[in-house]
Amino acid sequence: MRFFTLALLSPLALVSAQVVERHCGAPEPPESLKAEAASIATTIDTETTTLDTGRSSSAGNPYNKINVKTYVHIVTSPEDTGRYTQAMVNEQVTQSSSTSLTKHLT
Amino acid sequence: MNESYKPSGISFTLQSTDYTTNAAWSVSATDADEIEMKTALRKGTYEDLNLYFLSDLGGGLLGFCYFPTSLKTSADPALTLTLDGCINLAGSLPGAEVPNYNLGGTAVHETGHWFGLFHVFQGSACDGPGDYVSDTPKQRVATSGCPTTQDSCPGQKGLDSIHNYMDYSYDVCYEEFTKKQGKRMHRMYSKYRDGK
Repeated sequence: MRFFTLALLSPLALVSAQVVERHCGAPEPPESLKAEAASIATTIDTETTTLDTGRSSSAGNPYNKINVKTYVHIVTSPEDTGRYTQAMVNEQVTQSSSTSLTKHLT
Repeated sequence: MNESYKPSGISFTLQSTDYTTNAAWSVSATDADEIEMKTALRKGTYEDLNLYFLSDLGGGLLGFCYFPTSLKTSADPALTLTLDGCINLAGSLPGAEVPNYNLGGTAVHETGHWFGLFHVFQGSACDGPGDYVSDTPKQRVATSGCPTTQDSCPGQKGLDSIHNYMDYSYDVCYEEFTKKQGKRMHRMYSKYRDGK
């Protein structure tokens, strides 16, 4: 009975109980994207790229470095307000490799 | 994310972080809730990444994301743009509370989908195209936990990609995208997102 009460009161306990293995809700890729992926795979498997040869990239090179502007939105229940910090977000975006975090946490 | 994607020549620059308290949007949101939330919060264009971290996605989900598509041929380009981005369980943030999945690997995995990558076990079969990446071995099942090794397609070349970000392993098990996954992401980004 006590455990039941704790589970009801603690969002942390609820989350811990629910996520026992990874479940990603990404939908089945659409056929059009699979077709594009197949085409790209053929291209990649047959090309000799500037990355392979180590030459510097040039205009039109599909492998020029990509920088993605990233916007983060923390959307929480009233009970979770303030739980997720800017430091966590910064760690997610700027670092977030399992290796570096393992080192950091141990 | 920057360290995870660096070998693939991809980096992320945090533009802003906003905080919203909304019970309907943050816990087991419906499709209508999702549209309402993203209409209110989404920023940037189709080449920009929006990462949402919610209290509870329902069903034990850690995250989901939208694949790239052609905005021009989309049935509803405005809605496609609005919905674009990745939703992640807030407890998966680095240092948050979900055991085994709180090193930030979920957002790295979901963003892989945003770049057009599939799961390494796509198709759940040892034959067929799988994930359409030729340097990830055929894999029939998703990995659970962090096994020492796994070979779900013993008749095929290579072992399962248990350390690949597009598998289902624990965060601590995640180590890499393959070289051709990196190229695939560049090609997909160039076709669908760059300049859009």
